[in-house]
Amino acid sequence: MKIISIHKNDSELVTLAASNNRKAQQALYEKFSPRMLSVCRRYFSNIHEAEDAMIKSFLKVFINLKNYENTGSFEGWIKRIVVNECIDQLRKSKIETTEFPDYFVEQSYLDIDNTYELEQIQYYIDKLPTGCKMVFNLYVVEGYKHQEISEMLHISIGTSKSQLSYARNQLTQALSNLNVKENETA
Amino acid sequence: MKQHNDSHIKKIFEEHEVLPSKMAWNKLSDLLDRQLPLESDNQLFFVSKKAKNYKSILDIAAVFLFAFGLVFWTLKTDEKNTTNLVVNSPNENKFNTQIPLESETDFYLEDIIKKTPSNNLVEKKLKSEIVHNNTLEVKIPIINQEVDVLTNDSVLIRTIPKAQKQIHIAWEPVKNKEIEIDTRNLIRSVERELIQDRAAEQLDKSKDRFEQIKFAIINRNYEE
Repeated sequence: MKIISIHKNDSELVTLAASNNRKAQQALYEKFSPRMLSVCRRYFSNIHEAEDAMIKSFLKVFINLKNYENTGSFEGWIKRIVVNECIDQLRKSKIETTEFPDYFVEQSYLDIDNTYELEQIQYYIDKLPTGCKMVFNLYVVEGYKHQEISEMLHISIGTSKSQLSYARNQLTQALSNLNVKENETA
Repeated sequence: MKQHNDSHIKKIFEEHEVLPSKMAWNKLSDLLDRQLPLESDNQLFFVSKKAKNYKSILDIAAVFLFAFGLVFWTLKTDEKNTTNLVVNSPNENKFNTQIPLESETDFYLEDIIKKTPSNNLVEKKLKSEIVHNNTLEVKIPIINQEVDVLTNDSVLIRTIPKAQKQIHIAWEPVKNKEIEIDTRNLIRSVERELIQDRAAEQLDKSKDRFEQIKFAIINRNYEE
């Protein structure tokens, strides 16, 4: 299954995959799928749903590969497609976004230690409402601005900010409680 | 602090990788098969279509060439194998060889061999001797099929040296004719006849003896 070693670099693979060479497509898939599945996993608490979203994303990647201009990071291009696919999937499941008052936004920040493991953080992110989770991921992990997020999710900038604020507070609270419990156990 | 924590989370998530299941690629491959025809398939199809055209033309040409070559070769081979047969034997009818007398006709060697009795022997002998000799002289014994015995008559086949590439076949009557007979049968029949003759002789003798005794008794009675 290790086909990657045959090919020298991504641009060669991309060229081949764009001409619908299945082995090149597989090589690209094997190279980028673990990271892309991790992206999907942030949006879907269920790994199977995450994998489905990733597969559909890669399908879109290969279908649209001819339109890819070799400017910028190829991984970044794939990631945008993956994120958009995840959002589309979640939107299809009719997510509910809750508006929060603006004052809530001003107070929010993620006040956690850097010692927390990914699994612990992921656990509490999974518990967030879907809208909050999306905004949090898009803003904190993917690095989008509120303007972009509002356009992507078809929500107002204020809603994006309030969702983020809510998510941060929830996470801070949950992780603080976890810290307290760990100290008590110790 | 807030920015610091964001970057920490971003860092640990960006470095994180989740391996997809082994079936994931198969699913994707199936979807790709449905959505996009394979490049290699396309190329193969394209190439195979062209190749098929060329191939069919080449095939036809090859078949024609082969057929032409075969016919040409057969004709050449026929010319080589044609023999000039001279039959001199006056005994040809006797042995039913079906070769006309005193005529010089072209015959195929194979035909002659077939027409001649004991085909296998002749063929083998011919093959072995033709290999070694430019000039070949083979005497082929002939079996008289009616009587089913070997005769001393034979077909003499002479090959003329390679340059002429002809096989000269002539009948040579053999002077001392000897007919082989199945002696067992003969002896049996002779024995049978002898036995019959002996039986007849015995019977005759017995009859004579009987007559003698009869007359003797009659004479003694008469004397008494």
